[in-house]
Amino acid sequence: MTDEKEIMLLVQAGQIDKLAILFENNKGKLFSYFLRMGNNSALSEDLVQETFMKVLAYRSSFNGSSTFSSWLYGIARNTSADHYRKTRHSRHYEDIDEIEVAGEQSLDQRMENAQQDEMFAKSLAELAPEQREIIILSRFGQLNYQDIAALLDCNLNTLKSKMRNAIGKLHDGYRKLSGETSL
Amino acid sequence: MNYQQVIDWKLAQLNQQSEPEPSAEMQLFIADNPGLAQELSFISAFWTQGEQQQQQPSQALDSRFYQMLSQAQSVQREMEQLQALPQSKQAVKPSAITRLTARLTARLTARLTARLTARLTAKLTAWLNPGPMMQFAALGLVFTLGFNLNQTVPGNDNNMAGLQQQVSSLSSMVALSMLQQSTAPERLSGVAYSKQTDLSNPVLMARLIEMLGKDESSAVRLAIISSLSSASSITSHEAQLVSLAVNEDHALVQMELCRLLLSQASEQTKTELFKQLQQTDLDADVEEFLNQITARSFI
Repeated sequence: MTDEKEIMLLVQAGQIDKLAILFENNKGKLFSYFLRMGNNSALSEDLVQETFMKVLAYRSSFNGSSTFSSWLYGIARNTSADHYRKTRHSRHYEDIDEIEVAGEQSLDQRMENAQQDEMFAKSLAELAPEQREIIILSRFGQLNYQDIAALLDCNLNTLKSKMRNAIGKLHDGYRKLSGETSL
Repeated sequence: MNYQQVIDWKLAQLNQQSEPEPSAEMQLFIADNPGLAQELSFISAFWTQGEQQQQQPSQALDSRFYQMLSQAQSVQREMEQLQALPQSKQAVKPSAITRLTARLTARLTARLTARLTARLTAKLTAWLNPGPMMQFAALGLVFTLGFNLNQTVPGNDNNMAGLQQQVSSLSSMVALSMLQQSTAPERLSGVAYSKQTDLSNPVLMARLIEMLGKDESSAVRLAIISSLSSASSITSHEAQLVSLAVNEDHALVQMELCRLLLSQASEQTKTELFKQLQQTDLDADVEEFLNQITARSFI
């Protein structure tokens, strides 16, 4: 598969039809990212669409110094933040507890037949937003430590430590839900 | 070897960013730490859970994306046409001017030559008869007249300026006509024609400003802003442009309008622009753009 960074550079050079390749490669992962961050399906799709609109609009700002994924998720995070800033301004903002409940509800509906998956999802939803985001970026965005550290603007060792704590919390949450002492 | 290193390896392995098997040292360390082995087992289960039944976005997302991509390609084509147009017009313009200039020069030369030849013939006929001294004087006169004929004809500069004015009026008329067309490429051509004038035609200027607020094609609106940026003056339209900038929905057009005003408008207008923009709920990108512009102005 051609490197996504190279494809993005082609888009930047004017071959905007190549954006379709990047969309097909990333739409699922990005959708999962928004969904696991507590948004419902419709909003997650809107945010994926808006993220790719921004990729196109700001293609000239991609300088190739980071991976395409890292740049894409940077735009995705800003898109999500913008969305909540705007909806708060127009008094339709859901606070973080409501978002988590909405996420849990949609997960319940989706994963009726997958008890374990449901428990994983619930444990994830119960994490603090920062811990949840680190795990989602690694698990669903498949970003490496360097990319996540750059994205969250933190030191690599600090990130590793945060990741370990987040996984520990996730494991604890899973144990509580399953009533087991071990997986 | 410690817990952190083993977990780091596991995550990299699950994301296919490291060796699939742990090193011998790591295997020994995991074997000595049952708690760690349990944690690795949990991580594996979590990272591979539900991969087959991962929820996917709907078809609606695909169709919205491809519609957006198609629109973007269409705008790109329009912009390419717009960029190509002025070049082709520039290629036509010199030949038209050359033809007109040649015609004018030929007409003026013919008229002057005919007049001078008639006078010269009359004088020579009269002077040739009296005597050799008069013949010599006539010869000197011929040389003088010949020399003068090769000099710049007084009034030619005025004629040239008039000619350029006519060409400018012609471009304005063509532009006004094309700006009324129904398709965006035709209107883009109209904007390109307007760029060939100095936008001193008030009717054309008013039409462009009107279209800036109404035209549904963002490519046309962007082209108009580009055209206005080369206008000799936008002073009389600054208030209208501020209003358009504040009410513009398209982020890129809004940014370009702000850029135009910040580069060409008076200080008073710039202050008014910032004042009005602060009272609106700006797009985050426009806000960032304005912050950058403002920061740059302090450097």
